[in-house]
Amino acid sequence: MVAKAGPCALAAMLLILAASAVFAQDAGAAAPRRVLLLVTQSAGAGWDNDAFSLVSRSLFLGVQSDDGVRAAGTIIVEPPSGSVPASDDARARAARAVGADGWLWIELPQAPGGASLRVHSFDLASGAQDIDEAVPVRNGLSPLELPAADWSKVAHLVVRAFSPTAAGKALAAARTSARLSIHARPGSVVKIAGGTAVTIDADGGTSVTLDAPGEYALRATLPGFSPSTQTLFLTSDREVTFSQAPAVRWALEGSLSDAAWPGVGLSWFAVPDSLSLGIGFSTYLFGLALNEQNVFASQPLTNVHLWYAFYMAPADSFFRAYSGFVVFVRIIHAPVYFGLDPLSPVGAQFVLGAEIDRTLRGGFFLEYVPTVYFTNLPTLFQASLGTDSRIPGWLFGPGFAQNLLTFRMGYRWML
Amino acid sequence: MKKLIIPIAVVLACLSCAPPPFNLDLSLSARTARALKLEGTAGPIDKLYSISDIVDAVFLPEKGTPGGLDLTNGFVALASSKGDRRLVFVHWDQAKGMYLQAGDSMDLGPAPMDPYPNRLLVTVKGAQHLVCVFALDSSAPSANQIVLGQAEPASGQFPVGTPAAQSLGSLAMIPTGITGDVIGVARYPQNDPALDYTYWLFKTPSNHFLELRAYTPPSYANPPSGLLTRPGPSAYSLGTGMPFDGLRRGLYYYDPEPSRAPERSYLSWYDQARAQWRCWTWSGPVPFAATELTGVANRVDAALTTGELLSTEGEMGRLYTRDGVLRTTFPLTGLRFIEESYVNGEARVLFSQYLYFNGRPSFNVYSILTTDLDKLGG
Repeated sequence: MVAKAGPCALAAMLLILAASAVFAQDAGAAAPRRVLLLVTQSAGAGWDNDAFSLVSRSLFLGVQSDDGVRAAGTIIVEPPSGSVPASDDARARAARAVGADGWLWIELPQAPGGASLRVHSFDLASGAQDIDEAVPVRNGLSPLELPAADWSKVAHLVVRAFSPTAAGKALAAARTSARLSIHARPGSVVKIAGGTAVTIDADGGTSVTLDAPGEYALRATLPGFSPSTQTLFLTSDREVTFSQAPAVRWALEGSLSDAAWPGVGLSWFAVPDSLSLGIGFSTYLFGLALNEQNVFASQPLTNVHLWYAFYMAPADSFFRAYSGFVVFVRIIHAPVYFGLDPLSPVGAQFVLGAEIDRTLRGGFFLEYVPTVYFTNLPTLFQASLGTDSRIPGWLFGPGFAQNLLTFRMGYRWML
Repeated sequence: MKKLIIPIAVVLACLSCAPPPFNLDLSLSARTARALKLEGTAGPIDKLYSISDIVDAVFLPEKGTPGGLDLTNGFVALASSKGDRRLVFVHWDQAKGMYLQAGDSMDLGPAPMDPYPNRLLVTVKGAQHLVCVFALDSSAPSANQIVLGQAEPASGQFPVGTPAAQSLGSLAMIPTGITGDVIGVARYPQNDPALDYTYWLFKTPSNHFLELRAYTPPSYANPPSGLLTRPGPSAYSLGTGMPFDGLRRGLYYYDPEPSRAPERSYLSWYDQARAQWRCWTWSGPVPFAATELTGVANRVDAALTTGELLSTEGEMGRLYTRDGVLRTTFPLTGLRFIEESYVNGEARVLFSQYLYFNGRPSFNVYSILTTDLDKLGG
């Protein structure tokens, strides 16, 4: 028994030791730091685009290839676009968006001949703003001097601010809490993503204690007002104020039915952001035919719609679904006749739609609108669709004709 | 995801690309059609003769069933854009679930050169799949004919054998001792499942007239005979100095209803000089003095069992009193007057509407009580 247990125990011990070694190695290893490099020029600075691009590029290459930076395993990341966020919070979000855990912001001097750079940094891991100092530049920054540019001082700052060990120590040392004071309209409910919800008191404010450093997304809602969101990086006590615009009550929309026929509508939100009532029309007077014979088509028919729509998602949802019901009348406006279409004067639509990435000003929408036309002469109505082919999506029955394959898309402006 | 939204929307919208569910002519026809009774749809029809260039088509239902209206069998009068006119027979095929054309077509000859319809088509009561074609031509009235067309759906034949032709100018068809031509024939409905009469107007070279009645179809065994209200055998004048002296063709109608005695005759005549239709009427006893119904300025297509006159000229229905007063008008866009007929014992006016969808032709057949025709004007 012992003889048998010995090797097993030894194997188990070796396995545990190996695993421990691995974990120990993991715990002691410093993950490479990723630093977002942002370069700007001061307001009113005299850099032209070419010179600015050259210096930015030179800075990136110079810091990235610096021996000290490479030895520390720090990776310099360029922003995906040329614009530089204006606030610390925004810069933090930009850094996280590219997988970086810190940012380095370099302000160029007023002119290529300037004597120093202004360098700022922020370590998202520790929540510390380590660098805020001027770095002298030898021989200026004119394009002619760039080949001889020396970025070692900047690189040294990067190594100092973003060394792996420093980050770990700083993070452990800096982990604490901070007080966030929130200001919004009284009665607003502010929900902190992944956390609790707080209600704004009658004075328009409240406060909450949160772990810091940390990034938080906050969303304030109040009936009658559009939802408002803010994302911030909390390192110490601070305030945040929500600007909450009254919810829109009117919306104007332009649309295209079946990718061919234009329409216009006006909605009134009886219940803000939830229930809208509308009136509008879509006309066949001019439209896109897009067939082998014609590009445009025209029929002396206009549908006048009345509808209601119930929104199933908040106003700031990326994909804001709604459903509704439409009744419409078909009006013929031909020289020989003006009035309701005798063949099918009335129809109805079920609406299943969504506003997509809508802003406070408006947004694109797409609707699936199966339509039923009421007629006591369905064969006559069927013949009115055309002569040659079976058109997909249509059903015909006693007293009705139904089109199950019809869509509407357009843009809705919030007034 | 955001980048995909718009393309997805466009694709979905394009998938739904379809012509608008609207046709002005059909919608206008519905103004009247919705007030009619849809007796049924004869269709879809597998294929029709020369379908590609049809400009007009009328379905003539058979009258063989006890109710007097049989939509499962009928004749279709076709007019092509080239002026070609044909008559075909179609019947419901249960196995194929659609109507089929049996056999070939009968040539109805070219379109008339004058405003008169030069063919009167009557499906024959008491006989299956039989049509009687009265061919009247103003250019050669002596060549006017009756042609019978018989179909055999079981064997898929139409016409069966050689169409039987009888010359209306034959002396055997009119009283002996009179020369001249038949210039107008009209059918007046009978509330009898096996009997239909046609009424003929015969004109002599000296502008005298004779009115006759015949079974449908007439035959040598049952030739036309003079009306009791218009005693023959001598032809009579309708008055002196009538503008239609020299007439070679007219639309003739006779109202045989005794309750409206004295029975009236009507002649709808196109005045080339005035370029309009005019209508005369006369009644017994001899000597007749035809008087003009000045209010009837359109072609008359039927003298109805109500005693009224019906015009369907120019896609517009017009109903006149027997004295020529316009009672009402109603749009007929796309609706073609078939005839007045008794359906289940009620006199009804029948209309046919040619439709073409799903790649096949169909006909809607509508009816309305003749007594309700005046309500179509709203």
